[in-house]
Amino acid sequence: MKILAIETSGKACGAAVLEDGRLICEIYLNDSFTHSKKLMPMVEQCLMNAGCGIEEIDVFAVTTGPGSFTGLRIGICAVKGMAQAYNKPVCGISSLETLAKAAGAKNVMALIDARNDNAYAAYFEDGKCICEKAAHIDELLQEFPLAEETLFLGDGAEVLREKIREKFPNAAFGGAMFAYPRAGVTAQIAYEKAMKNELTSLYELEANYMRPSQAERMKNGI
Amino acid sequence: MEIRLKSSSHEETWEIGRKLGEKLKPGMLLCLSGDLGAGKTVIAQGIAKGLGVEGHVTSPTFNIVREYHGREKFCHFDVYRISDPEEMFEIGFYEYLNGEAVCLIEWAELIGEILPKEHMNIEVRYTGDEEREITLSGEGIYEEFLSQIAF
Repeated sequence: MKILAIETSGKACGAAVLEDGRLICEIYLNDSFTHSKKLMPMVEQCLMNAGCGIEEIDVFAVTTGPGSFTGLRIGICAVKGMAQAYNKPVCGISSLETLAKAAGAKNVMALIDARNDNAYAAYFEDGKCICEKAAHIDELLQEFPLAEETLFLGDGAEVLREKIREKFPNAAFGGAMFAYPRAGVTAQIAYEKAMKNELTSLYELEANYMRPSQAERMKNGI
Repeated sequence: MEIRLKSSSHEETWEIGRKLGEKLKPGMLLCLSGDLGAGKTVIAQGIAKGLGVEGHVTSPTFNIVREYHGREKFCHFDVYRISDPEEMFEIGFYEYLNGEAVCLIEWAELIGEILPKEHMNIEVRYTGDEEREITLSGEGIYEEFLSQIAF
């Protein structure tokens, strides 16, 4: 089974080809939000390096959020276009799960920066998502049942390092290499889902921006 | 830090904008507010000129945002028509704040709650028929920036 995955949720963008659970090729580019220009050439290059024609791809995978509004839409539209042209199923993967599963730690907190000390966050224990929320870092550190030796990943973890250290002096950090989700990890998670037949039609693929709903905002008096 | 300037004509208001624009750096965010008709757009035009933007600059009331390329990239917002600050996310607002452009927002007070805490405020008020008072204020890097400009 061949999977093509695309990742455009943050500042970096990437493409990866995975075959039967083995990552063949991944291209990663962190060059200030030029996703709309650079993505398709990256996909082309990745397929070429993997010696794989696009028509051979069985599943098209993409991170569907949270993250940059424009970035997510670029990735999702690209995948929808390709899946439609080749009449193939798609797989939408959380960018937070992609971040968390890049490292094999027991307790992982994935944080995507949402400005003004806010973050999109998800806490994983043994690969299972325990809780997920977009909120101020103080609220997240208070509410989430984080273990002392939690590994913090994502660009949000880098921005909020000081605040995290205040509450968790023994916190571990993934650092720059784990700041952005990797298409290779997206592909791997998509493969696991494909094996369990958890795929979607391109017409049902939606972004998950993790923004507060209208009702929530009205409740908070905004 | 606050700087108060007086203007007695469109031209003087424009010139204040131009002097400011000459010194602005990419990544800076300016929030423009003030009385209707007081000269917000005139200041924005001056700032654009100072940033090396050639050509006609008008208030993007209908487009919400327009991008210009001068010495620096200049993104001019007018959020008058935004009814819910959350709409700003849906126009990719946060991507504009990635540090590569100078951003100026007219009617910024309407989306105050989602703005980055650190920004420069520009307020334009009537003090007479032709006379205006223009107040520039900011903290952090903007305080340092303002303390180094001669008007």
